[in-house]
Amino acid sequence: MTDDATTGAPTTSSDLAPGTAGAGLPAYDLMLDERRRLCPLPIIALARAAAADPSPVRVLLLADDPAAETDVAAWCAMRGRTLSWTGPSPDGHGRAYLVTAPTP
Amino acid sequence: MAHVSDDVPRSGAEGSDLPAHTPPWTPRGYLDAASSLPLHPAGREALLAALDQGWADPSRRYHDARRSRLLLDAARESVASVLGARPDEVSFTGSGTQAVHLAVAGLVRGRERVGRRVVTSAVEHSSVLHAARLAAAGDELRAVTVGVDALGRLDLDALGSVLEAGDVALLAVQSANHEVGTRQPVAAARDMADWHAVPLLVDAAQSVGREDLPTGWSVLTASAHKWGGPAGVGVLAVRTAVRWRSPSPDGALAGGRVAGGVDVPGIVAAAAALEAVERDRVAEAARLSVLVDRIRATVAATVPDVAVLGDNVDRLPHVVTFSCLYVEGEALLGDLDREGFAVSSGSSCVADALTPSHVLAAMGALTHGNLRVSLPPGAHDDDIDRFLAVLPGIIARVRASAGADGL
Repeated sequence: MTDDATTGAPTTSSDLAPGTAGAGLPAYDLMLDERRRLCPLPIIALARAAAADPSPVRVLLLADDPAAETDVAAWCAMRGRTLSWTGPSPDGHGRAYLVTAPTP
Repeated sequence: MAHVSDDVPRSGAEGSDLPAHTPPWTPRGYLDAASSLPLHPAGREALLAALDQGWADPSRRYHDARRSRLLLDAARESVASVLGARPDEVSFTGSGTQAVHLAVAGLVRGRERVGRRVVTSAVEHSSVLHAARLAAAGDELRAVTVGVDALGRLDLDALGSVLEAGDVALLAVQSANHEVGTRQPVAAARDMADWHAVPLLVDAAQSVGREDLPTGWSVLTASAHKWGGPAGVGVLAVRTAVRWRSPSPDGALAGGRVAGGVDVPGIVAAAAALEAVERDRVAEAARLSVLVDRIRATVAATVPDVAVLGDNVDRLPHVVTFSCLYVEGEALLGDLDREGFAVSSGSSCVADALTPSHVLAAMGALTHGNLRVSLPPGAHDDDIDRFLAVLPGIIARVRASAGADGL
């Protein structure tokens, strides 16, 4: 998957470094760039991240499938997560969703 | 298909405990009745006769034309009586979509000095939303959609605020939702529309031939192929007192509401099919509703991570929809097709525009892995049994192939 450059933000799902992209993005522990992938793939990526050990508390998902706007919220409701923020992607392509796990 | 010739109803005897059973006329495994039905055998018989008897232009003044006119008038009277309309209030169009487009455009035109906003539920059929957007002529504030709850039911409080603000050309509320089956509160919406002297358009495409129809509408639309008529016949019913002005060029109308020639054989077939399904309607709806209950309960019990959508009681008798987490809708449809089942999906991967169903989005429901099962009259019980037997395995396979099992 090619990736439009995002300034200063981790852009691959293997990058576990916490960070923020500045530019109005909230802090996160893991960024998943699922743009150019259709639902349910972005939701499956969220679920994989949630199943990892240790699992990140704050996941920032980038997705451009319009179905994600509904499906991220629906998945959060089904899995006890919170969709705590959503806004445009840093580079303007697609949307960003911050999904937060309940703190133990 | 052997069962098509099954013209002896297997029930209906007075005092019998057996529910009436409409003789099936759809192929085995066909569970997409809300999209279309094949022509009912009674409609087919009527069509063949009317091709010979009703070919002439019914507006002419000679023997063959008068025969066409008589056939057309009888069909109109028959359909009108089912809709609870006067025959002169009923017109036929080339499709349900065309009926909706004319309904919206005609009401907007008839009310242009009174109100400009077209108010619809957010979950109307796309034909209603498209017509509203066209009527709004680029001014987004003039096409107003009113939201729904998680079951897909119109938010009456929100509707009240929109109507209160005035400048309304029409309110459009479907009789019941075509994707999730939830019935809309048409009576309450009608009272609110009446209070504000706003005409009410009811798209009854999913209800005609299936359940009691709403009353008190100003304009009602329907589509013959949803009840077993031909695909090229829609219905536009306009109450006499309603200010509706045809958007078509005046000269083309010849006193009617719809421009162009009239498909007398198609209309005759539509009316004959409707008469046939109306005969068993109440008992058949009760039977199908039990099958839908069984699907709702079994899917929820046998498929992990599934959301069965819509109202489980106040709903169409024949429609059930559910969404399966981590499942690609298109793969699901393909696997079911290979097993001999025809169903539909509101998932974006299946849509032409790759956008998810606006109905599911408005409800906040999971849009991927979505399946709509809609039962034809006469649906076979054992088709449902087999569908419910193969579904969990298919969903598990699709999940596994996406690496999503166990998540």
